[in-house]
Amino acid sequence: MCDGVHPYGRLLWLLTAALPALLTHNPLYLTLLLASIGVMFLARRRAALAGGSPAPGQMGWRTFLTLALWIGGFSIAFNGLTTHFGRILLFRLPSGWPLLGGIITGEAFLYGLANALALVTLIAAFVTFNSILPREELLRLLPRSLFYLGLIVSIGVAFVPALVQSWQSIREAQLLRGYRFRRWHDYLPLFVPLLAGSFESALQLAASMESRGFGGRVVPQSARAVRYARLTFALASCLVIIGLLARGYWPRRPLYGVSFLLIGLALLLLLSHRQGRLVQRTRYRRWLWRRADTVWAILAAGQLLALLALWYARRSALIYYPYPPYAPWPAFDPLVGVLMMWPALPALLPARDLFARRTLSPEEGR
Amino acid sequence: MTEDLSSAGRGKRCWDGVMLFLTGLTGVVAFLYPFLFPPAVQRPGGAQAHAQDAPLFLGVLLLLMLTFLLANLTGEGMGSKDVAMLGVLAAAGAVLRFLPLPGGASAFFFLPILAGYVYGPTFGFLAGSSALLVAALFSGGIGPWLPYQMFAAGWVGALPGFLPRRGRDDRLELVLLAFTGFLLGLFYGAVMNLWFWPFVYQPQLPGQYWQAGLGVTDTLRRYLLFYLTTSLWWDILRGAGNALLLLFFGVPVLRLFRRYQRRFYFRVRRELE
Amino acid sequence: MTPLITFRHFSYSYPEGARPVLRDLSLSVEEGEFVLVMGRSGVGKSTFLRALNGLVPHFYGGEIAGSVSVAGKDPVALGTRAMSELVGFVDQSPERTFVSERVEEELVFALENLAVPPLIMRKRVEEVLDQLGIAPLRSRAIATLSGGEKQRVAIAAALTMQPRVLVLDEPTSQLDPQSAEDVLTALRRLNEDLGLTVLVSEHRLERVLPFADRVIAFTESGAQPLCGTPADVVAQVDLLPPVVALGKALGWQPLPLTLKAARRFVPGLSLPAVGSAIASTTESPPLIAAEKLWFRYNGHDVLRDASLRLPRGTLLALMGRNGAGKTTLLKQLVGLLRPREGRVRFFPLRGTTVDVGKTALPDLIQHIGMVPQDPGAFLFQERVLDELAVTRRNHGLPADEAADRALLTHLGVDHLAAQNPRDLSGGEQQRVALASIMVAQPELLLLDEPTRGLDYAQKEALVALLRSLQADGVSIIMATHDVELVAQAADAVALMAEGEVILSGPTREVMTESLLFAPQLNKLLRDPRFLTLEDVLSALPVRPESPA
Repeated sequence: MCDGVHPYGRLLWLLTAALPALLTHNPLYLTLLLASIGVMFLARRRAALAGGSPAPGQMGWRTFLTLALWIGGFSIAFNGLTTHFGRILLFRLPSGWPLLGGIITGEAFLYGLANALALVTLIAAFVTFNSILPREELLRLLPRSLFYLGLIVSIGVAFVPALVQSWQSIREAQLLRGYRFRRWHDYLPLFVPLLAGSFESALQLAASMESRGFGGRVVPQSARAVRYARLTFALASCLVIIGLLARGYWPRRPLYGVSFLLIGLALLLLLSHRQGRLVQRTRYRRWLWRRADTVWAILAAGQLLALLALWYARRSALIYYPYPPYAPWPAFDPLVGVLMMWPALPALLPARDLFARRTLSPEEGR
Repeated sequence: MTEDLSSAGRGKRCWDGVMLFLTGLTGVVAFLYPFLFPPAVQRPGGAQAHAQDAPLFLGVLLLLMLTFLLANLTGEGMGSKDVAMLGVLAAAGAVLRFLPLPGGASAFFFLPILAGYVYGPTFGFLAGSSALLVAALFSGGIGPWLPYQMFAAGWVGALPGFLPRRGRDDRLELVLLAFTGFLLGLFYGAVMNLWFWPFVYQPQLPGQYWQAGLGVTDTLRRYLLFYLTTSLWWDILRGAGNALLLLFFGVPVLRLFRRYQRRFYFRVRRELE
Repeated sequence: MTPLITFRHFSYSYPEGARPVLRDLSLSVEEGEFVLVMGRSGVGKSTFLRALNGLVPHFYGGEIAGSVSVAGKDPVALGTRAMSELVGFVDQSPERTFVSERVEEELVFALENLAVPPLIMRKRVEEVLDQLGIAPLRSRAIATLSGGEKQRVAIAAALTMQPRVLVLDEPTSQLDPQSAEDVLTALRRLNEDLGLTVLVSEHRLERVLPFADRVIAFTESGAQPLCGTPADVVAQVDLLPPVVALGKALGWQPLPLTLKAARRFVPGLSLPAVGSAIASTTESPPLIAAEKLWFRYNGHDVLRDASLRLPRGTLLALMGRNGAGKTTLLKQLVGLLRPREGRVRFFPLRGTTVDVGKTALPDLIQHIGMVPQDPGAFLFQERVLDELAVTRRNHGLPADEAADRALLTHLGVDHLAAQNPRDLSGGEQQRVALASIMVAQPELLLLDEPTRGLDYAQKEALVALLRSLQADGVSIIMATHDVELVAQAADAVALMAEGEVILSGPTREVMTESLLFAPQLNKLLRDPRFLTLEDVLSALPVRPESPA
């Protein structure tokens, strides 16, 4: 009933693409990573176009390029002009200028470029991810404790087309009454009826949900349980705050801060899990975990583990730091390079529809 | 009749306030932490090591806190009317987000601000963050920036809920709201910049040893420059847009919100036979 | 056998309502019955239906007295949530009841909420897909469905919990005749095949009366409704489908509820022999003429070579299936859309001929007014009078409250002048919308589906209103599906199909030539002279005493 890789598999893909961008700033690795993400993006796009429908909710090329250029350019300029450190002297700005004054170095621009690449790669990874996971599946990935939020958002998503339609018809209707758009103020005749209509819809919608047993199976909590949960939360967030502060105050003993942080986060996780279990509901659609999923999961896990192992054991292989006393030119290890090409793997595997959409177009559905 | 839309009692509302405050505080500390305490350099590579894992660490922390907060603001006490109303507001917010307004302003914040003001901070937070999520689902906007956006938009909706309510003077109320709207426009931009700030800035360079005070002021100055050059102008436009929208449309839309508040709240009476 | 549903001395009033909507209501319904709930808008039908699953009073608040019981359960005590497994509820506009993007997800909403095991869920989904005949739609996005399909999905979604009672509040009032027919057929099948108890409120009596087991007729707000077999109840109420009304007027016994049953009585009618009854009317000069219009939308030719001519002073009805291009043609006439090919010319009484395609909209709407579908949706002021003032200002006219009040009086809504438009009923909103268009005193008025959601009484009032506007010299074009209304009010009819005007001419000619759009009495008598009840009654030699 469902084609393509399990949503968890798709999440794994996101990790294989985004984690390296967070762990390394080496421009050579990042370029390679960006290219492999690009391969995947193009493959998905081609498949989607062949299927007759461009992926809904997908960021266009133009938007992406604008965003990348803007953020990239800014990052390079900011780092280049505010970090006055390095051997490759380019020029000098008057020292009276706040922040900008001082020597301007090649290393600073190089590091700005590395930062920019990491950022753009990260954005590219998410843009591609948006195109391989339909939004209804994304909503279903929300943890059970966020059931209500998921419902709110799902209602929102379902209501948008109706809203756009009524916006248009209200606009036409006001035009027929001689409405002209000249100033901001003129949005009022569109705003107010649209909102009033929406609220009216909300009432009907609520009645319809209520008639269909909404909120049927939330196990009521005892007052005591509620009190404990609240205390736990307060405690946990205090621990997180203390952990953060401790890490700052005793930088030489990072373990203090980290252990507070971890305990706090673990408590939060535990609490979330418990609350998720209070919502009793079942799922109609389930993705079946199939052999292809296992294959892909093993592949992805291989890359992630290798990266983490590298990060833990030989961090210097990933780190890029152009300032002295290090060399400004990035190092390159072919093995690490191979790890960076992982995100392109699903696109190159023989089964190209590995990330196919399940969604049928209206014509197919007929 | 309750002030909050949600039919939950006083205890729940107090607790929601505490929770918003605590998560907010955690957020503030997490954001400020690279400013306040740049790590001292112990060994070569130590400084950048921190600089480079900061985005990952902050992102994960934020995501966890947000998940938890949202799970607890929603839940048991919510009736179908709250859910439907929030869903519809989220859709309206998402549509307004893509509505072109003169000067590049966005009408997106208009509804969460008013919703928070009329129905209370909890509702406002949910209205803001869920509208943002719906918009993101439509525009392919899922990314590392999303938790920051949801948090910031949530707060934009929640903060007006703490404003004093002046029943009598309509004009004063409106000016107060417009001013808040302006500030919230700036606030949103300042929070949103933080998602890629750790990418742009690394707190310490080898060879420069950290000194208390100097590090902080230097970092804050940098952030100020960063904020000035990235988004301040946009934020001022956005803030002004919020203020103008609230001034122009505040009164009729507030009246609409209150009208539906009346229709959502009632008592069932059973006559004695 | 104890009845499935029992009301005992049930009274209810809304939180802000002064008088109870239901007062001392007592009635019962047996299991497996098909119950038609009829009555004018606003007399308590919706309230009555909502009391069955506890929405009244739990969702709307208010005051209640007395008791209700459905299958031994008390909705007032248990609340809507607990009743959801017993009573399925479907509202009138399906657009506003969906929580999901896709059909299947919508169907399982209730089941997932009630934590039904996945295997049972699968089975139930397949069952309801078949019962409503919507299996081909299962993976479609709901936004892409037609109104009738949406309504059937909404019904299916209510049925997944296998309730014993299905309650529907005017499920077809927002649908075109074909979709409405589909929905009603589906309901009938559910009742006959599954033995499901169905309670439905409905204005299309001619479609439901034939297979209803019981009719509950609300006559007045707060009064005890009539309750009994269709024939019994129909004998006591007015505002009926033409065939039933004719039967009643002529004292036919047993009273025929369908065309088929009525045919038996036709030979007994002593109608004068068929003569050349159709008088050829002299063509007055045109007020507006569309010539060979083409228009493309979303890659489809919505209009293909459509031509239309409206003689001054006439009321023309534009008919045709959904998607035939009626609305698009109206928008072309008012200048909201511009044709790709062809032109629209408007000949005002004073001034020169206007080429609609080349004139700015604000100039056009001084002469041509259009009331769109669902007109209540564009009212945004706090007071009805302000709405008129806004249009006046838009047109650059000076404020003139006296004239506005006079206009409201003319339209019969002067008593609403100071009210909030959002508090009004559908029919009242329509009149206010009409008033807000009429302040510009247009010579031509275009109405898009003016009868949607109106009951018989409101339609009668609309006919009277249209006639009085016509008497004032306004020419009217209305797009409508309502055959009986056209037969009563229109001078001329134009039929559209696939973006083309395929037939146009005087009402009598067109309506008798087209089987699809013939009114009920014309189908019964097969005579171009008889379209409406008045036609028949006035042609009869001796007017019998009305039993009522």
